[in-house]
Amino acid sequence: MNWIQVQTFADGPHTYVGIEVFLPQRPLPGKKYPLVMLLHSREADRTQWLKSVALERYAENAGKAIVLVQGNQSFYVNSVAGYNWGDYITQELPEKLAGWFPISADPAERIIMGVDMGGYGAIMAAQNAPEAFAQAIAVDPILDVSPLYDTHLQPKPEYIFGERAELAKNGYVLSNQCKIPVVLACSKVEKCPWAEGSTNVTVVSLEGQTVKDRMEETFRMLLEGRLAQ
Amino acid sequence: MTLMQFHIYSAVLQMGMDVWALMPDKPQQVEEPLKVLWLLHGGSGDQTAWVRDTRIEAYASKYKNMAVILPNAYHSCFIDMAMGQKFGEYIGVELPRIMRGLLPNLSARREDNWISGFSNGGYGCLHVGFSHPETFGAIGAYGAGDKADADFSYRMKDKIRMFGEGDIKESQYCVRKMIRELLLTDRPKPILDHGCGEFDPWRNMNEMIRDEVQGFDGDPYQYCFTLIEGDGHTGTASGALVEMFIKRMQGDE
Repeated sequence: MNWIQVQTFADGPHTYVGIEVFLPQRPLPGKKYPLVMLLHSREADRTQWLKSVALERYAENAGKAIVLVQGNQSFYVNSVAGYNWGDYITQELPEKLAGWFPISADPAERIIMGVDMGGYGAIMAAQNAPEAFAQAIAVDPILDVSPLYDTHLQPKPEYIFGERAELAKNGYVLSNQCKIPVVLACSKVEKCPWAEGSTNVTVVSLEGQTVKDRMEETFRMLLEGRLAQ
Repeated sequence: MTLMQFHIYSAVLQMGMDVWALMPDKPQQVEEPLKVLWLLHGGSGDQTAWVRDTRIEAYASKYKNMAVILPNAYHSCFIDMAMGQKFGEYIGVELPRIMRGLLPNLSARREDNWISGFSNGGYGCLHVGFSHPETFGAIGAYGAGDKADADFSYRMKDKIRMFGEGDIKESQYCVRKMIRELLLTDRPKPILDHGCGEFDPWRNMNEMIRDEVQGFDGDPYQYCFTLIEGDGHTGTASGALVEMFIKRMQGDE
């Protein structure tokens, strides 16, 4: 595939960011390719999906644009401190990608998928901007950020989400009443109370033992059309 | 601007290649197809050279309507080498096709496609530009002489690898010959912008091209030669020259 390493200014978070873009080897003239955005976990960066998944092996003939998004430790939300990573991934980035590359601007051809923090970000994007995506896929996602307040993780969750007691008021609680299809992909042994009584949520039990296995398994299912919307 | 590092596959060269691009930050606000400056590096350079040696990004970013494409062609002079690969075909034919496929906003009109280079890339942009005048509407050649006028006596292997045995003046690699012979055809004539530093050690080779082109009736190449006073074969000279070239091509003089 064509691999394009993009370094650009992102207005939302007000910083320069890297973006990794994978496009089909021989794009057909005039064709706009469906977009798959991949979000990384809290202690990783955008290269995580590239290092964990044999990305080209599965995507080579899938006819899709695969984009690895940098999100730092933002949880991909607009933070109380004013860094608008949420706006960046739901609006700014998809629009710019469609502006630069042969990538579809149609939300019906746009999937957002993430692991860990990226899973939270994908579901949150579906919650806040259901008009922008066809589907969100979350692998081993963080579904509740409140336990972070009991840790020494940096940066402090207060800087992202505000006070713990105000998580719901500030809009950082993931609702399971989803407006677009959401796939929750986690290990077989895991129970998922969050999905009980949900709307538009499909739980997929994965065979994989490690997170990398489960990322690979989910990515493969997506590209083989086995995560039907 | 936005820096893009491409890892593409060249079927002509049968290998993976690096290309850099400078693109507008807000592509969704660009309404016209982008004008394209194809910028070729010098003999010891690569796709990073212009960005490191000049202020190309600062010049180009003043205009919101253009892209800069920076290919790598190793030590090839950007030609189909006598004993080597077809870098001329790669740069002049395959790369525009590939980049227009990956960046659909790049204009394909010849008036909007300007090829420029410094030193080896100066020769290279002359050779590619005069080989493909239907593709490139303007050439900006800086610190650029004709390899047919160069002294290869101290590096014959280099010469044979690039240009083969025999006199380059009689070969397809002689750009002064190409410039003369294009006049005998109905093919379009590129704008030719040319220049070098006052103390460029190869200034005489630049001036041999200058004298030849200035001798044509009717200025068929809308030729302009600029000498950068007090400078040599340097990034400051090539940077100043390419800035003037961009201004000229943008109609911003």
